[in-house]
Amino acid sequence: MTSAPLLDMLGACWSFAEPVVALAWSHDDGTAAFALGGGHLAIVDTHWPKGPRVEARPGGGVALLPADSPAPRPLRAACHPGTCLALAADAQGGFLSGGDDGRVVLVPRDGEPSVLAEVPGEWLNAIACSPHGPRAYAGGRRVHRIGADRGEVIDVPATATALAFSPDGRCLAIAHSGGVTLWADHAAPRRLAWPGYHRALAWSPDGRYLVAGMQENALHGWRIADGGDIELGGYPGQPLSLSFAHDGRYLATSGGPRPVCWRFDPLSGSAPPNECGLAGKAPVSCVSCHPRQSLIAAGYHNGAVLLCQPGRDEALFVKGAGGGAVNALAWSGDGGRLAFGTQDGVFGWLGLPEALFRSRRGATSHPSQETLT
Amino acid sequence: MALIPVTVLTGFLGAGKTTLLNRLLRGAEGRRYAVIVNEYGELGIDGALVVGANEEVYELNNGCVCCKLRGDLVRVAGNLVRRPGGFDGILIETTGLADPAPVVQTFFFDDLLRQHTRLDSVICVADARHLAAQLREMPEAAGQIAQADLVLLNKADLAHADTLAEAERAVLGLNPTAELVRAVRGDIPLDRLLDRGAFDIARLRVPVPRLGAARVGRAPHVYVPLDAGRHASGIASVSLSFERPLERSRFLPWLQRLVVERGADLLRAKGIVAFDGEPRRFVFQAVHMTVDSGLDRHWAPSESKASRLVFIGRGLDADELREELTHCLADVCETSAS
Repeated sequence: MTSAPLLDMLGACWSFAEPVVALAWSHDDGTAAFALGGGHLAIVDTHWPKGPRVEARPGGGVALLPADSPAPRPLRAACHPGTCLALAADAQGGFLSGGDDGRVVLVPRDGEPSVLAEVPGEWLNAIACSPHGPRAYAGGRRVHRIGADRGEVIDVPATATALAFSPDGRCLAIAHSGGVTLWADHAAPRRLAWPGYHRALAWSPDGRYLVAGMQENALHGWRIADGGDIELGGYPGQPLSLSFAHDGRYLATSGGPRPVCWRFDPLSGSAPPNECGLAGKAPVSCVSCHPRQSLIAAGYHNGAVLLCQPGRDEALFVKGAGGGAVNALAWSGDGGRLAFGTQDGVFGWLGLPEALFRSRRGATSHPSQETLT
Repeated sequence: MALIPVTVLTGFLGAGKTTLLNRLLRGAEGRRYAVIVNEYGELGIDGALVVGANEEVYELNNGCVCCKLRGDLVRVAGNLVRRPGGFDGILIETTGLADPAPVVQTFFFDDLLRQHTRLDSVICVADARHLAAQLREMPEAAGQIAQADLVLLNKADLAHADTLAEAERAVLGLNPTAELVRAVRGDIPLDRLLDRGAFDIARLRVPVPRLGAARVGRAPHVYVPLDAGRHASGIASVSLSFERPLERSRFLPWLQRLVVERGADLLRAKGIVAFDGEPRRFVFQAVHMTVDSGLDRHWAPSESKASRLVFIGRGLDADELREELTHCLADVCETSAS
């Protein structure tokens, strides 16, 4: 672990001196947006023609070739007079941002923000968009969904804390105190009740499971088919960052000193979760599973970002400590890039081409520092 | 990174909370505050961010009915710490009848808030003319006094001397750890309101019980029950003092059991404890089942190494607590005491 973090060699970062609240990748993967605490959106074009390259060496391993030009600079768009609270990538391109001004703002990747909806007096702290088109936002107990031809509204029993569309885009899950409400197309809302304060959501990629991160240092999951409960607990902290593996075999979460992985396929009854990667003095604040490989990016409260694999202890440094807690972390849809944002306002991205993880032959990826020599 | 101090203002409608809040903000002098209030419109403050929030009190699903959380504060305060430049303080005004305990517990339970904020003080603003009667009749008033580290007896100029004295007796009987200040229209020096560190266990205030009729129990020790604190609401305080050290291996499990078994009725507990063979003070405080504790500074050579404990709650039995704690004294043999 003596070489420089990957970010220094393969990426770029900036700061607008506003804590990063959330980040999202556009659905075509070319653009990353960062919602900032001062009401701005930072939009970064990640096409970097003369950027750093990773080339396979004939004898094995890879060579890193430095950039010939600086990375494209981020745009800064003013979205809300106060603060950004939530962000999602819109299916039409561009991004939706929710603010404390009660507005949902649509920001095209290069253009002027425009107001898409307004709920006066409410903080819009949850927004979701499905790549299939529908959009949703929540202010207080009221949840709004905008489909292809119409908008609909429902009230949930308590303030909505998180929204997530099922992978097929047909069902919106709404987290709140007391459980989750499922709002499917052309159907009455269905309640998945479980006492406690539910604050984060993740669908399994096949849509069979829904898991909520709870204030009570636990997760609670449901099997959608029959509403069966799954209790996953024992965290030292609140697991509010949840990410399913691309193949649905495990769910990775924050909430502990290392990323915590629960086996889901098959769902293992009473088996304890396994932890992977390095334990920092600071706990994990964010996790994001690679969309194509068995690889987890983990952000820590001290600002470090690591790559690790379930069941393995070693890790690869993407970014060293500093810049405040990692508040947001996400892979681009093709897995070629990773973006992050921190509490002190540092945001950036790096390219992580597949060649980097290919050790010797075979499809199984195993990140190790040796491949970089 | 400095933690943002959080000040909670409680008190019945009409006691003068908003006046005090305005006073705090007017005297802020370049400091930047965020204010979380329930009612909009009464505040006209430059430089402060005012956020309206509906009090959402949720029970936590952790096996404890007394562990409650303010969901709105988790969201609102959780976002305030994400604003550029930060704040010099967060002020929270609760509604008239609200129980401040869930506010306190929210700042203990939430990881993000613990990393960025520190609860500095719970200030109860009371109308000096009505407080004694409210304490007799309204359990909410007792709950607010129990959680407060500063009680502002407001409108003191309008109250008779007897009424004032009765109010003061009632407050100290209920919460002997509270600092009591008479005020007129919330007029009190700002440095007495801010940076109180009331939840900093190193700065915990546990007064020596006022000497009443000391009795001697089965094991020789000194304890002073305070009888004046019982109210119609059933909420009362018990202050105990022990001049001889306690045995850590018996006291800690006892405290744990107390908060687990009686957490729902135990509104507040504080203590500075001398352990046998331990040169440092052991300090604890609890709000229901939520306990914060640790070893603090060394006992000073000039200081009497006496343990002082205060319990505020519903249906607490002073004799029973004293008896149980007697069994935790280091020089009381466990078997003979049972």
